[in-house]
Amino acid sequence: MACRSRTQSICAQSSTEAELIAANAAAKVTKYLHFILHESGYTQTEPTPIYEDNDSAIKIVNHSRPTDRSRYVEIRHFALQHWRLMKDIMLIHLPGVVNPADMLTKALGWVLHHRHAPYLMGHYGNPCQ
Amino acid sequence: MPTFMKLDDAFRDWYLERTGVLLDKDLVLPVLRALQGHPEAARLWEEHISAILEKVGFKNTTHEKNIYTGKFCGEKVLLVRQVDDFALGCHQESTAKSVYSEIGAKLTLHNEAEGPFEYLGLVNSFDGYDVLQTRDYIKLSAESCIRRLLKAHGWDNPSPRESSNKPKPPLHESDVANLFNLAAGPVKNTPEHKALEAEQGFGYRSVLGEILFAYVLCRPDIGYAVTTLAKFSTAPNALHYKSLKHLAIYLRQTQDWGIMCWRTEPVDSLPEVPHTPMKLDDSLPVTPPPSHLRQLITHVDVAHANELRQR
Repeated sequence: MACRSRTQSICAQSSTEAELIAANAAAKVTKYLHFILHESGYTQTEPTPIYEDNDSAIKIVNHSRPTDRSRYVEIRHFALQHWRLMKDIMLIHLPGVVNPADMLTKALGWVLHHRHAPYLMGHYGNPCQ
Repeated sequence: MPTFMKLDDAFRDWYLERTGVLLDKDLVLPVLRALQGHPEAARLWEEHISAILEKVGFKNTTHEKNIYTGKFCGEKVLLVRQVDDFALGCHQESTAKSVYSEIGAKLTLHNEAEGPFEYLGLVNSFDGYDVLQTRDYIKLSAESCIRRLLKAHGWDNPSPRESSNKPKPPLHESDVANLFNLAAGPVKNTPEHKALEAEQGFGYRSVLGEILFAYVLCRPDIGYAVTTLAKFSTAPNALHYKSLKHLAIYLRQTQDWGIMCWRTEPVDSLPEVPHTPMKLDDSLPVTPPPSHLRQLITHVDVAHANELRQR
């Protein structure tokens, strides 16, 4: 597993842009893992789901066209659209409260912390059963 | 082919002291015998071992040169190399032994009876991790690293007031806003800083560094707490000290937590260590499970802060 929690290097103008940049960074790590898994003989046959809680960011990627308010976003962050067409990734909406990535972005109370941490670390038991 | 090294100041000082001759900086020194600390040792070892592993039949991945795959004794073998420590993944122990003896034979020099390469058996620690291998899962944890930290600061025993079996969250939710709002503490190298450190009884940066190590190893659950507390490491105030200690106590209460990798098929030759799955809170919606077992999943989230200091 790979995880990262850090300040974005650029100043996003909106939460949609911020999510787009974060999803872009996550997709890059995903692609890197794809290469390593492929070369080790565990090729990913389906696009990797990227769970996002920002609907507009997902729409920008899935509809492959900018909206009026996203035209200023750097073009490199739109690489996601290309990667989606290449079937490397797909963006899926997941409400914030169940997104385990919450654990690395905000201080959670015990209930949510105790939900996300075991999920990410595989403490919920064997998924094969 | 002889190797040469540039003369560094340490060598020139040593030579001057020994012989009274100050060597020219442009001279080079032929290396007769490579010792540890030889400036070229890392590169030469890398070349040497890569050539050997390739000859034995391993192939490394393009992006991570230290992850290898190969096929031996009819089964697929994965190998991770951390400089001169090797961890090998395969089904049969006999395969591992045969691969190791092959590498060992290639590492043996002509005047040695036996190569300096030892088969250590089942991996139980690697590169700082504690590895627990059982019938149904492999657990990577940072237990010994956390215990070392707790022991060094005398926090290894719970205080009598701490009776609850439910661990505390890594950061007090109510403290988080105050972490940012209260005035910064005294800056490093001032008498006030020293006084605060003495009062608290531990160095902020050193404890943070040790906890950071656990985070990087396999404790993503403390990620937010660590990165948040790290923002104050130049001028921590008393609340930051308190929160950091709180985080260390959280680690004590959860020291056996680690990343669990579940097996698709049980390995009967390994001991069965039961793991009680944690109970899900039914009041919350369900996180979608992977569609199949080898699928990668990515989760993304962004916290947006209008307050500059909180970014």
